[in-house]
Amino acid sequence: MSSMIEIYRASAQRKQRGLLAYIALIAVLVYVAATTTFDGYVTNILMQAVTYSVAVMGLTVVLGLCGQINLAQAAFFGLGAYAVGLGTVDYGLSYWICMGLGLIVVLGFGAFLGTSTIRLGGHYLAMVTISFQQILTLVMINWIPVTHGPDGVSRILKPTLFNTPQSYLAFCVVVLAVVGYLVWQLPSTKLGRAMRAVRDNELAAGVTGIDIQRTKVTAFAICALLGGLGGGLFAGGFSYVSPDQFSFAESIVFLTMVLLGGVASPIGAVIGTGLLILIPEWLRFLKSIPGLYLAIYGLAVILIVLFMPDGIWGFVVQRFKSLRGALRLSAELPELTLVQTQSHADDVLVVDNLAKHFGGLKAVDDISFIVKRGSVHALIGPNGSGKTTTLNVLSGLYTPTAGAVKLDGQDITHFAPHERTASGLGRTFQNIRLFRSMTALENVIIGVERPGNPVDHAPIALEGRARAALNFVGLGDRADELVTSFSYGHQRLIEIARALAGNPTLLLLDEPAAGLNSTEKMELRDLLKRIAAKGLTILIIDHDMTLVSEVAEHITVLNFGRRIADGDPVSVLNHPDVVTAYLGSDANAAH
Amino acid sequence: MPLIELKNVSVRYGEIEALRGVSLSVEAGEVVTLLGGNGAGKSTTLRAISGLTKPASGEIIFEGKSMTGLGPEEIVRLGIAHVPEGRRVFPGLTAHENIMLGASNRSGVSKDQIDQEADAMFDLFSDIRPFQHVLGWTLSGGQQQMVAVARGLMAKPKLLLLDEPSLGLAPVIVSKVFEIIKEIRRRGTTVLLVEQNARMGLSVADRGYVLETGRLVVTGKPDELWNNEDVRAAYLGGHARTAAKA
Amino acid sequence: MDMVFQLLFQGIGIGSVYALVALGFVLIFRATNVVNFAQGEFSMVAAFLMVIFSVDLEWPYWISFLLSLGGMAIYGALFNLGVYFPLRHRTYLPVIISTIGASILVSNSTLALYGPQPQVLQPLLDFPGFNIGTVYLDAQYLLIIGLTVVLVAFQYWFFEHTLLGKKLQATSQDKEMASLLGIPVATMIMLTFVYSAMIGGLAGILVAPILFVSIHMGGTIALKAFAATIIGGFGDVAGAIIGGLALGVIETFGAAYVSVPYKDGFAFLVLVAFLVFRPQGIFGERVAEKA
Repeated sequence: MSSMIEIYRASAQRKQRGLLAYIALIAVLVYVAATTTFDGYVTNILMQAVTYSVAVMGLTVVLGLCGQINLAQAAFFGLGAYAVGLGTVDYGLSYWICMGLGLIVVLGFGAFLGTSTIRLGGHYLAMVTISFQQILTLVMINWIPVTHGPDGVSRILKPTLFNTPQSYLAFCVVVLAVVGYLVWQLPSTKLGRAMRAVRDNELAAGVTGIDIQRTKVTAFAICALLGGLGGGLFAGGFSYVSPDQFSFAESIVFLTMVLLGGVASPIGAVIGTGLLILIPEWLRFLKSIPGLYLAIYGLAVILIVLFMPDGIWGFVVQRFKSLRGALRLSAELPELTLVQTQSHADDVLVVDNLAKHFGGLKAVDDISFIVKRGSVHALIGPNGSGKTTTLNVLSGLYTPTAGAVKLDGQDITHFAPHERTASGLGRTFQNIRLFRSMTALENVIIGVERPGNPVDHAPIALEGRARAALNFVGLGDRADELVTSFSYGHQRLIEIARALAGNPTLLLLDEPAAGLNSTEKMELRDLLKRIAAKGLTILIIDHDMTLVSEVAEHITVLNFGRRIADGDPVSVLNHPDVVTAYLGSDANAAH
Repeated sequence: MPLIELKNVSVRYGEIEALRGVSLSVEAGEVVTLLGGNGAGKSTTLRAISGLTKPASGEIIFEGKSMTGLGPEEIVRLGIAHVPEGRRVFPGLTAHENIMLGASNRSGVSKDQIDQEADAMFDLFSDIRPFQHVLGWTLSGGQQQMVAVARGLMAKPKLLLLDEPSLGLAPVIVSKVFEIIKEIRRRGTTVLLVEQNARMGLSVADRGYVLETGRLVVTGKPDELWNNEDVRAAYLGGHARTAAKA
Repeated sequence: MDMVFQLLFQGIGIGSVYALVALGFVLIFRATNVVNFAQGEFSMVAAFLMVIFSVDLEWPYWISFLLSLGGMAIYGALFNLGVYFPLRHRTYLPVIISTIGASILVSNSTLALYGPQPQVLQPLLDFPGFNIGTVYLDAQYLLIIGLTVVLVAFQYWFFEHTLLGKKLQATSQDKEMASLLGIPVATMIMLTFVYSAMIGGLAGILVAPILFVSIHMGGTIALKAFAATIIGGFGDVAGAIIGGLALGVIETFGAAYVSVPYKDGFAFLVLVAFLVFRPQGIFGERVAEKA
């Protein structure tokens, strides 16, 4: 057994060694690029591969990490390239200023396209990016006074500092190395985790407190930025740009590169870019027939999607995954603490005349109840009684037709899911919603990162708290395994740990016993009792009457979307209306 | 020979074992009710019969022939109509159109014939006659349920699977739905009914089975089941059992 | 004033083409929840089939026309089998990417076979057109408008008054329930692709004498059809038609009064404006939140 700090130090050392190795590799590459004399042809191919790789890594971020599409990467690439080209040639500005301005322009367009479209969903984003690509191509060709039209811009300057092709190539390699490192590290940062969470399970991401909108727009803007950066480097490297280099077809080439190499890693981006630049050079004869070469790209896209959805690097990683030993450390972890908010009002949740109608269906019709601080409150009712709808209204997935919801005195009726989470609402789902590409630990870290969580947000503290939460549910020693390797019952426990890690004011449990066998149900019951003992307020929705009657101090019963009983378990479960609701009424039976 | 027989059927949804070796049978002309709490495997049993879910093991035999490997479209053509949980009325089609589509499993029937049969359905379901040209999504829960049952009957099934017809309906509507089930029974259609409302479910049945976490626990005549403590426990939990004893 | 009528006429003519393609778009979207990015290539392939039959092989025009439509039916079926069907259980992203791949594959294969030179296709009718006052009504535009009206009427009748039409609608609303009723879902989706390819193809054949037959015509038409569906309200059949017509008119006036080179840009500006200010389109969502 070692302390949490030692574990953290060990993994930090591992990371540091990785970084040193990476720097050494890059140093060798830069040295080779700067000192070896290539002929012009080879330099050009390398230059193209390096600058394209930067842009393709943008797609790694938006498509691989965040699961959003961008079919205008060539347009962003072109914007960067034209900024450097026109700036240095027509306006005599310094390369660096042009690059800076180009990046600002690209970022602006990226953010605008993102904010205007992303909330509408994937199809719209795909179409709008294509449209943007087309408009930009039209402008490049037709706005001749500014863009030089179809002739393009020639005699673009390199920065004085890297004035030879050799030194400029070395500079580009350094930029690629830095970008590659950042993209490599991104998944394990807060932002990167948020992106992966959005990709894995949007609903759960919102409920764990992630601003889905902002995360997607950020990913899109980063993608655009890397596109612009790659384009700026490209313009300096080739001294000539023209509209046909940045057409829709090129956007497809970028997409093919990232898909072929593998969307999950910057290594995939470099592999895909390298291959798709080299292969056509080897197969130059294909270019003699116009169209053939792109037709093969199109076919490749379909075949990759059908048969190699993880790309080359994904395939390699799959192959060797079993060889890499999982980091398994056990540590003495501090007991999980649950910090409660300052407010001491007695009513944690007030549901006031809540209604939700779907067309002619009144799923929830004028329901009121109050959850007291520190209590375990159960909401029950037969199938179709309106429980799940109530829960979805409480967590902000549905907007109520009428009524209000107050959490700890704050009116949250019109809050988005992530805003409710920030106000202190934690929840689990009936059909478990974990982020499936992540480890148990990462899932729970996202829980700790809940906005408004009153704990230390330093990386070591985050990880410590997450491990403590997993330990609390009994899975501390398996923290570093992928969630998909856990049994169903254990996945449920991870979900509870994720919610607990965020220090919720109120924990909503949606049918936690669903799908569990009898042993697991018993473990769950004990866990709920331990959570309640820490003073956390819990609202549980379940069908398992044994569980509910054992853990709840107060039960509200719904039927036909209305409240039919409210009180302590014994009186509620023997209430004639409740017995009728569950077993059917004598009055209705024609026996 | 029973009309349908399940032999040791198990169903898995990923990690969850929803049905664990269930064997049951329904004779022609019978109404059999499956009871049990939520997650007991009632709906899964019906889904396995109608082909929506493939059993992991076991066999389902209909009219003496194994249905292993058949999809839902083929199974409904054999004469098994499934009225699923949640009604699943097509939201963008009218009540009348929904009902007409119930005959999609029967070949060689003209559109006029189907049209007339659908019209005739509104004799049995007279409550929804005024709404026959209203789009599905605007109907209330009870109206949707009637459309769903009528749509199931349009298949002229030898076996009708009804999944929780009382779900979310007010008592007065539930009684109406069960009156209709009694009428269906009178006309001789075999019914396998899944019901949470035990009293109502048993009131129309010849026999009942009780499921608990994917296993059959009790079977018997309606009276026997109604007075069985395990049945009450399956619904109201151990607490009710002790409370009832006390 | 005559100028306005003249432009309106042309705008509605070209808008009809967008409307037809948009219709195919919406039908596939409703049946499969997938946006087909190779929709425009339906038009392009049909136009090239016309070139093969009527120009290269010099077969009679109407026979070529029917053969091309028949070819499109086969193409739609193959497209479904190769591009959509194997991915039907995956999320929308792989399917989008797969249709984009198909679009690139088909347009560039055509380029490899036919080269970049645009092909010329003769108008369907022999007489050029006539004047009403000073407004010249071109026969090809009249034909486009007329056939669009006929087709829209046919489609309305088909979906509202035939059992097959109802089955197609049921499939697009709830596939599992449709299969429980014995509606062959895979066949319904196949029919949707076949029909969609045929009306997309018809649009391509009709517009070919006006726009030239080139490998780029598909991409341009598809983007405008998509813009049309957004303007009308995504997934709405009537919206697609109105959106298509509106876009044709806007674009024609834009080209006449603002700028010719940026003609293709107007559609996208309108598209972006709708996305920002009224993303639900003119008609909004017809079927509200489902219970």
